[in-house]
Amino acid sequence: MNRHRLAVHILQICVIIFVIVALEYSVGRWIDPMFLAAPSSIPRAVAGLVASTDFLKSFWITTLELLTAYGLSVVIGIGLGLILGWTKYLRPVLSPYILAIYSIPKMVLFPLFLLGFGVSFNANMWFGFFHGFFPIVINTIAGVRDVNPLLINAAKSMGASTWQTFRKAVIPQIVPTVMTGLRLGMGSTFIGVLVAEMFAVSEHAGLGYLLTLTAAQFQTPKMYAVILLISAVTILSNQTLLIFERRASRWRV
Amino acid sequence: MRPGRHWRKTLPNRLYVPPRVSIVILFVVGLFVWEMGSGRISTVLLSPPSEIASAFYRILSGGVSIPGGGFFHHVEITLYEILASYAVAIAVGVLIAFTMLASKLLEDVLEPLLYVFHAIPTIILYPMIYLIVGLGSGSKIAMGVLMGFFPIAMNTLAGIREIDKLWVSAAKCMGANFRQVALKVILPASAPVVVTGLRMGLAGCIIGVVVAEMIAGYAGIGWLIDWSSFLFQTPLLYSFIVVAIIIAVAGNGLYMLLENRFVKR
Repeated sequence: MNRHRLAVHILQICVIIFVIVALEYSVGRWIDPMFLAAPSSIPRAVAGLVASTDFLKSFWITTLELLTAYGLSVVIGIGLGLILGWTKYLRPVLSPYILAIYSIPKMVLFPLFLLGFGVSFNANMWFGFFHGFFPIVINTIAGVRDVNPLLINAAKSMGASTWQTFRKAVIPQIVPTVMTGLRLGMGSTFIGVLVAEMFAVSEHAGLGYLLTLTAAQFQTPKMYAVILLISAVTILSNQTLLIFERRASRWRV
Repeated sequence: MRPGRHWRKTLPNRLYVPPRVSIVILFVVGLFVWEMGSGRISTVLLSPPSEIASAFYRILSGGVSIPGGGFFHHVEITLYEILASYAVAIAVGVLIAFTMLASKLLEDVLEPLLYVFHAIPTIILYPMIYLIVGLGSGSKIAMGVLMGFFPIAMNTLAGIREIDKLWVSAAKCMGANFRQVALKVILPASAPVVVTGLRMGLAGCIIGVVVAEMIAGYAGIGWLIDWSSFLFQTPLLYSFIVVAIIIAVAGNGLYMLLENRFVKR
């Protein structure tokens, strides 16, 4: 088993190295370096990018939009999810609407946000919220709905107080599903904010705008540096939330 | 004791509205408020449903002059791009799934890499794609593939991997050859999960194609959405958004029908 794991890791590194070498080899031979930057030119571009002020400004704007949107989706999503999960009447009335909006391609609605808020922080932020809210509320509803009453009764019959029942028998049942929602919501908020920024054509409008700008100006290495940095941040946040998610459902075994 | 039972008992029975009726009431009230309220807010922002309906009729009857060959030409382009990207996404997804099924080692190597790749918001790769492929249909198809292949690969893998090995060996014991095992055991047993993957993959392809058209392109439904919003033609904008949503919902509904009809759970 241990040797298997070692082989897996070595092969994974080989795959990554192969992709890098293949790109390096083909750029300049088959692909114009104007369109595809060679991997060897990326570290320099990343260093230059991180030091530049327009990147720092864009990064700051995107971070602010992302955190505001995510914070709102978490608070409203969990709040509404708890209410809908617990009320017997509202859930069947409102959840079809939530599921319907969740299942349509939300990105086509961005022009409406643009008309409503103009090219602004608010348009990008609310569009991020619009993406992140749904996975969170849907998972919270599912978590509350599927609470097993048997475990609550068991806790009560063993003499647990109301607070103890809530703390030890209700919360641990809801949290794993909510954590899945929080992770999916984070990814969706990222997508919403970045897509919104890719549409917005204004000075200092975040990383998405920096991406389309560098593409339009054929600053290819810089564009790849932006793509790499966004990827790194999203992968990192996803993996972090995945750890919390696994920790939350560990009691189920 | 389920919450919510007590107040229901205290309510007189003739005042009780079943949830299904409430859904419809909410929808009608929503439309009414939208129609009445859009005059108070700006009509540029919120066109009333009646105006959207008439704009929709004008588009369908050819009463709106649309650059680049008319409305149906754009729909055709988008549908072509969606179908092309879906075909490629299925081919790529199934190929990846079968590669991973072929060996445990390859599965362990590729699965984490694919999941990590999936954590990246795919849309940020679009500038890279249109620099390499160009602004034509090719870049939209590539974007659709990138957004659609993942659920197809993962669900095909999971669907076939989770089959009870006993069924396969039972069929073999009874003298089934490879073709019979594949068609009579593996295909029906994996179908529920695989078909769900195909449905999610189609949704990904549709989103990828339409968003790609919106961000950079010169044809298709996504481009029409972008064009009408740029000109502040709000009723047209809403109509095109509705068309895009209809395409997505129709794709989804088709698979739902297929699942209900052919897949035994």
